Amino acid sequence: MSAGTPIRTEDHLRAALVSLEGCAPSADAVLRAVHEAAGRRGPGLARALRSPRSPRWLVLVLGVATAGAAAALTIVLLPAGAPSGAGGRLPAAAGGGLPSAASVGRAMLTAAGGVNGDVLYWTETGINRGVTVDIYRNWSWPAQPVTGQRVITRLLFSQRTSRAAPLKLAEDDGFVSIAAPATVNYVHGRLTVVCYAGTGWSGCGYANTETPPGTWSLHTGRFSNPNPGLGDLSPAALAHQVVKGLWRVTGRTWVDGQRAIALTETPAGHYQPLPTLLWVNARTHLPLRMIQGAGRSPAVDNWYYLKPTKANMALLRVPIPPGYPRSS
Amino acid sequence: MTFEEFVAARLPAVLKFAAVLTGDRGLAEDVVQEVLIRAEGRWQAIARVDRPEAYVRKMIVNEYLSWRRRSWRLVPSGAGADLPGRSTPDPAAGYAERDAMVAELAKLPLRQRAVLVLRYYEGLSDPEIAEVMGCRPGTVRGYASRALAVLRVELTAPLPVPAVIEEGR
Repeated sequence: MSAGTPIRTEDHLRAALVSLEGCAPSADAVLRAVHEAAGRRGPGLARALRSPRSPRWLVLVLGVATAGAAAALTIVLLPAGAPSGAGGRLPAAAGGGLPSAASVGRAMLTAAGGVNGDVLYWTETGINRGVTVDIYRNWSWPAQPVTGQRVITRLLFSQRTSRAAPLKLAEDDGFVSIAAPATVNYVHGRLTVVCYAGTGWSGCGYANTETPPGTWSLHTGRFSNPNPGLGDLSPAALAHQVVKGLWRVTGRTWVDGQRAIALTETPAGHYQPLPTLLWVNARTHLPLRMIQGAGRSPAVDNWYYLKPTKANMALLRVPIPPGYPRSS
Repeated sequence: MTFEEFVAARLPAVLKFAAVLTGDRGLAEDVVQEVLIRAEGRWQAIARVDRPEAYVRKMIVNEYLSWRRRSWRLVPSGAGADLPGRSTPDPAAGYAERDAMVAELAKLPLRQRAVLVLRYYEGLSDPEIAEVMGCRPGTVRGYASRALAVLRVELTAPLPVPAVIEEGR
């Protein structure tokens, strides 16, 4: 600014800032992009399933399941290693010197590459006031796919429709495709959807598919790139975050009998200001658990690395419930 | 409040905030998109915080700073507002002055710019800005002081001298 320019006031500054509202992008464009990206960039298929194209995820009709159906579909999904509602509480430290976040992150990156042949089993549990309200169970093989590999993923979603109701199977999706770079929007794949009855939903779906309750469907074609193993919560993505300084090492502890390094997300982290804690196996440097939120309403993620045995590979298959007809 | 309800009610305001923060339509779109994808996946937890919108705005600030740190985008040019030198200059001198300030805003270090947006657009207090940016109120005042000096903005009330000023990048 030249010496002759008049001094500006704070009101001038406010006006200049308000004028930038004209740069605001179209809401429709952003939403389209979000829905599109949600299908290909999330940690699994879950994001796509929650897309607004499927409002049934939001409009639950409670209490429609018959007692018999509810009993038949009731399951206990919490794996042995899942926490028991102690959201946001750091387990007692086990002592010892602390490694730097950078060294932990580098070790995590190496570790993530070392489990490529395993089946990655990942659960995401939503807890509300001490009650588990929904669980996503994800299996993905290979655990950390590289471009060109055949990838099999499965997502099993269960939900409790009221505090008194049991957790019930809601939707089971299997997807087979060839791993593509994150920059690729679409992949060719085969999708299997089982839509369980008695949930109160009007149906299930992924992308443009529709599966009525009480049926299953099989679809082959072009789908949004689900990018398994490359989402925000994959071992490799978490490792990159740690390397970048988005987490700091806070202690050593034990998680389910495993020595663990505890990390806390820094203020620059993706999920702040929610308190977010991560535990990494101190020997393998693979993520074990993450807890977001404090008190009795956290979201809890657990990771398990299963050898690709016949039994574990069978977990990738979506079982068709007896009596369920194919709808498409 | 569900994620869809939040988006239906607050997305326009969130987009405007992102636009003012970034000064760039494309960057605002990318930042909001990234944040909404993560927020949707974690909405169950976000919906339980006192003010989900404040949480989302903090995510946007973090994402904006993160984008810049990662150098995924070019530095915002303020091109969303007409800048001096355009082919059809605005006849109003006031607009020209405003546009000049927009151009200078785009050249500020990102944290200084974020502080100005949070203070003068969002109307947050310095402690509230400190909460959003994860720093001390004194640091906020330092960023603001530096930025206002560069922009030659005269304060209605002088800023207290900050005790500590972190690197503003």
